[in-house]
Amino acid sequence: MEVAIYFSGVVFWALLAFFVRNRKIQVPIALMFVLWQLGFGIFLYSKINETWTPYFRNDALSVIFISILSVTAIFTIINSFIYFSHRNEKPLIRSIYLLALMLFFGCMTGVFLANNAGLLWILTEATTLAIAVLIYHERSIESLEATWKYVFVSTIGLSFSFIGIILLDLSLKDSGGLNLFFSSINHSLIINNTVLFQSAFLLIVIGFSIKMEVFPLHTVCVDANSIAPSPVSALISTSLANVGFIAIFRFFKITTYTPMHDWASHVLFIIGSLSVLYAAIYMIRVKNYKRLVAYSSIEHMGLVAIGIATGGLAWFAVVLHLIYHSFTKSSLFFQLSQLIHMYKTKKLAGVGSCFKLNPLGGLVFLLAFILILGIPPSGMFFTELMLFKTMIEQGLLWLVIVIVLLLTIIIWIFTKQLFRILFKNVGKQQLSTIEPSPWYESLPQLILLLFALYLSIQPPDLLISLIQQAVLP
Amino acid sequence: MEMLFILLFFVSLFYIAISGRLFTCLNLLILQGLLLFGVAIVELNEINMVNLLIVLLETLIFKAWFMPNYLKKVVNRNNIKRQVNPYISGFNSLLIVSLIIIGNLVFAYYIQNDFLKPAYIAAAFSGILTGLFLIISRKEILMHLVGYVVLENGIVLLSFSVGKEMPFAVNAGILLDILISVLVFGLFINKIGKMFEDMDITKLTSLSD
Repeated sequence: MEVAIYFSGVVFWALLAFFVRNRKIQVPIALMFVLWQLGFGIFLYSKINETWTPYFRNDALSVIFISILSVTAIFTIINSFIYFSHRNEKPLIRSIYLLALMLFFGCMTGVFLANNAGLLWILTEATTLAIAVLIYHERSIESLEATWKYVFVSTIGLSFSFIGIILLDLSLKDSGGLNLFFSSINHSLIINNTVLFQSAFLLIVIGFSIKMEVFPLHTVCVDANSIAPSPVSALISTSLANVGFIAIFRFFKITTYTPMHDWASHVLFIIGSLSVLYAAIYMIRVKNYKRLVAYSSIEHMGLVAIGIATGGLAWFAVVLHLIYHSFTKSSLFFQLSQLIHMYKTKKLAGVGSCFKLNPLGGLVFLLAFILILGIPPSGMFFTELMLFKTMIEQGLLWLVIVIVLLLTIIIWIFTKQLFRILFKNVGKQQLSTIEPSPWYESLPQLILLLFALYLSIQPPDLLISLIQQAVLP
Repeated sequence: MEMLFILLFFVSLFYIAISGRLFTCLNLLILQGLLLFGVAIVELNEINMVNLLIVLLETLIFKAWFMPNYLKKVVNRNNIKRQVNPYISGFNSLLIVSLIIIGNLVFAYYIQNDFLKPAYIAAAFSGILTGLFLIISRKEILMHLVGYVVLENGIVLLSFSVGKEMPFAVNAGILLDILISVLVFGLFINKIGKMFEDMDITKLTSLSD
């Protein structure tokens, strides 16, 4: 009932935002939607671990990710309206954007709450439909291409995970099984047919890799990220990647109750390492700053995949890492929106003098880059350290060395490009054509980054105990 | 009886791999829809009436009638050329599909259990992989869509073979999946047709580093 009320509310606000075409009225509607989302997050926390229906369950993990989503929603809505003001949108196109955005938030919340594998799959598929509309928002040839590729690959990938879910259920039938419900899983499962179980897990991971932005179906995410409006890119890179994480994590957890646990860990080690390698290689030749940041997401999600495979303390590190990553990466994408508006290009060669033109914006960039690269006091420094420590304890020193080398390359490229954006002098002729963004447009990002910094330096006990509950085996 | 449907499904996969005409491929989709309808009647007679009706609606109305005819309409409206332009010749396509089917027969033998019949698994996975092969080996966006529908047919076949075990959510899932794909793809084919004049995926190359 409670979930039904939430979804009805989302549909109501989305339809209202769609039918009311006036921007001044859409602002309070969007604000009401954000309050609705935040309120639902708080309600879920107050009723944690209560099951209302077998199909939805609000465990600690879903509460954490819905809270991240709700906080991101505030800043996404603010930045969406800043984005509209830069572009002089037609009212209909703006309304379609808001409709798709609100439904997208609703679907993601549903995925985080889903206790049934079939339902999780359906809601993930629904996120594809909503995000397709958002990627296509600018209606250019490039956005059409990016949307087409994203929808096509995403639907095929999710078809794979659908087969995987069917096969997984069948392979577990002999030992009481899954019956598609995560909470009713038997903690000591017998696998009679290992080929069937392995095929199922592989198909599930391949399918959801498109949402989590990890190898092998990550490439279309980079295209989508580089073309979509920046507030949408922020969501694809953070909340949607969290959707992929939660799907893969819930299925991986099932493998920990079987003798196939080690095999499944190896699969995720390979996927994670290849993702970090891919990000490092492609970052070297990247010429577009949005693609640069998109590759950084693949790197971080690769680390997360490695963390899932490592298990133990690494699971704690991974959830904390995702919290920091979500807030930092989304602020970075929001800030990139200003660069596009100021320089009218997404090419790294066309930007520079950001500190001179927009000091607060420059400061936001500097802070965001420090935090995203995991340089202390960034929380990601500590989570990566925790991950590497657990890996070394498990005898994976060689993998830690490889990953650290790849991260060094990534830090070098990122720093080089950051200095180009902040300090490289642009010609006088170009300088005269640039229209600097007002300082207050950088303020929301600064607040979000300071919040991430606060969580890094002094994570509240409440958060720590929630994560501890969430990663219990 | 169901073995006859499965055999015909294999034949349709061979035919679609060598077909050089778009309309032949779309007609083969109608045949596959009818075959799935047959399989559903034979295999799912024990499930409840509402569920069975949804499945029959999905195969007969949606797969065998609406989707192929809708795609034919799209072809006619946008003046899309009706010749298929593959990267791989007909003979090699036939060879690859044969290998896919043989490989899947072997795979089916390994993963069979009390709930999974080998013939169904082989047919379903052959459909899925042939669909993927069509997507990789053909240039036209519409053939990509045909490949996608063949892939979906494979998945539907697989879910029918386990239909007695699976709850309603699975059938609803398939229906939603197909609806999404056709609505989105249909819209995009129209848009892509307008923007790129001819619908060839070699035009979609503006996004790269």
